[in-house]
Amino acid sequence: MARLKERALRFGEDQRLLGILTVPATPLAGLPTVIIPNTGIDHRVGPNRLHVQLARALGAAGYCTLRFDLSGLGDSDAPRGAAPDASRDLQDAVSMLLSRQHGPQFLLIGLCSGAHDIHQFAKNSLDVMGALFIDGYAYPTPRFKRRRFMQRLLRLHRKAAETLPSLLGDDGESLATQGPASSLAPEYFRQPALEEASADFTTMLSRGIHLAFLFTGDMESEYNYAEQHFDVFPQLKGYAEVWYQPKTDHTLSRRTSREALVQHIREWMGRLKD
Amino acid sequence: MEAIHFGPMTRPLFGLHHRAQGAPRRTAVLLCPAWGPEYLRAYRGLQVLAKALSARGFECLRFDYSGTGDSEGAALDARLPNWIQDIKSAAQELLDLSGAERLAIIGHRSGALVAAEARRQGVAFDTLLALDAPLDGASHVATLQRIGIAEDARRNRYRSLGNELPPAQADELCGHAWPADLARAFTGLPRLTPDRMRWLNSRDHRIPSPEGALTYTLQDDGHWQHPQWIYSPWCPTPALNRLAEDCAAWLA
Repeated sequence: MARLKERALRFGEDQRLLGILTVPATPLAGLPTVIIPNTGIDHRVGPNRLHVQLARALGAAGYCTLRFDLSGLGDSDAPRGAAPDASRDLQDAVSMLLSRQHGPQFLLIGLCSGAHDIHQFAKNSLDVMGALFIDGYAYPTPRFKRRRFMQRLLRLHRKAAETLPSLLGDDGESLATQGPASSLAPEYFRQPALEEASADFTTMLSRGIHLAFLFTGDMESEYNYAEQHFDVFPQLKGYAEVWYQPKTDHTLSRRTSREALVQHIREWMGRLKD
Repeated sequence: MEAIHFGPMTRPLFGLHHRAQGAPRRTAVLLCPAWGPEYLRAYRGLQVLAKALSARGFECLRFDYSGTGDSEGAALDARLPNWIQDIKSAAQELLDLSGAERLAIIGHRSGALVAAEARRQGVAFDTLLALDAPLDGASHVATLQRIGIAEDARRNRYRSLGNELPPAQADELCGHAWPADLARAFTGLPRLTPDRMRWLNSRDHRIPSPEGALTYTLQDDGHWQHPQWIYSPWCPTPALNRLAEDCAAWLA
């Protein structure tokens, strides 16, 4: 990291938000500035330090990256007299970066709750040129349901007593409503109705926003084949990239999966540059 | 709260300095975090504690060891001897920033063991407050290994045949880089001794303190032994505020 600089920045109303800006020694002109908000309750370093690894790898490729704590998380304070608002925080981040001559275009990367947060921001922002959603919104299709049923049947071979109740109804494995860890984990986000999400993606495409999606194997109860996202949102086909990584987990707990993700992202961003 | 970088130019450390509100006390407090999943779980909790302490007149510094958090270095390069030096640098930085005469360290989980090791190796401070300290390095590593195995099993239980997670590599533990040198040194960390220290234990902390030890019980649970809490935040604000209040009685 010898050629990178990392600087802690306070910004937003009352300077209550805190982020780390990673800047290459020689930033390449014309590249978007990357913004990474929190994943779940983890502070700005990300799960298993993913956001640090990503920011430094992108810095080595010439990109500036801000990873920061949303209101009430990590070292950012909650707003006084108002509920935390991730979209407002992201707008504060964009405004701060513009005032420092970063941008003028921004690429957002969000995992889990971060995917939800950047979706809600990107659909209304004119400053965003790209967004990568990791284990974000997922909606079932008939093919998903067939595969899900077969997966449940096959699982009977492994643990019949445990699986039988799940064949009869909701088995409570939903990542979106329960979080990936356990029933003790906090609720991270609620996804919008399918029609609303579809309209949002159409809006993003009409603005020329480049979209990419990654789904991991921990989403299997909601996403279980590579083309599922295109089957749900046909307007994305040919305009977005979807990566399905069934052997990767939600927090990218394996170093190889983090390295593969970083490589994927660098290649995708390289294609955008071209 | 001010974000700072300090320490050697070759390995700068990231820290957060909480200035004392009102007249500063003679004692400053350095917070040494845990490692890996426990560091992530407790991040906000230690911030709340530092804020509560600074509101009671203590200058505080939180920081990340090299190769962890926001500090310089790759996780695979993390080494215990560097962390000992990091504690020494952080202690000096806090004394310089605060002008305090005395230094207390709050070591959280493995952070308590590392701080005690720093003291054995000559890093000077007056009091160690061991917050939910493990018995020793070996038992702590065994706990983390058990949690890692349980978490992998839980994830694989919901996956299709053929989509199981690949096994963790030897230099990974609970999703975090766990280089062999660090693992060896961590495992060898001995039990704490009751010299100039106090045990701060969550209600569900089951590790007995040595005879004659000063022991304090937090009014909340830590759940540090349970795999299902690995991704749940530890931030018992009322208990931490109460702890800060009591620290004000113990420390000048």
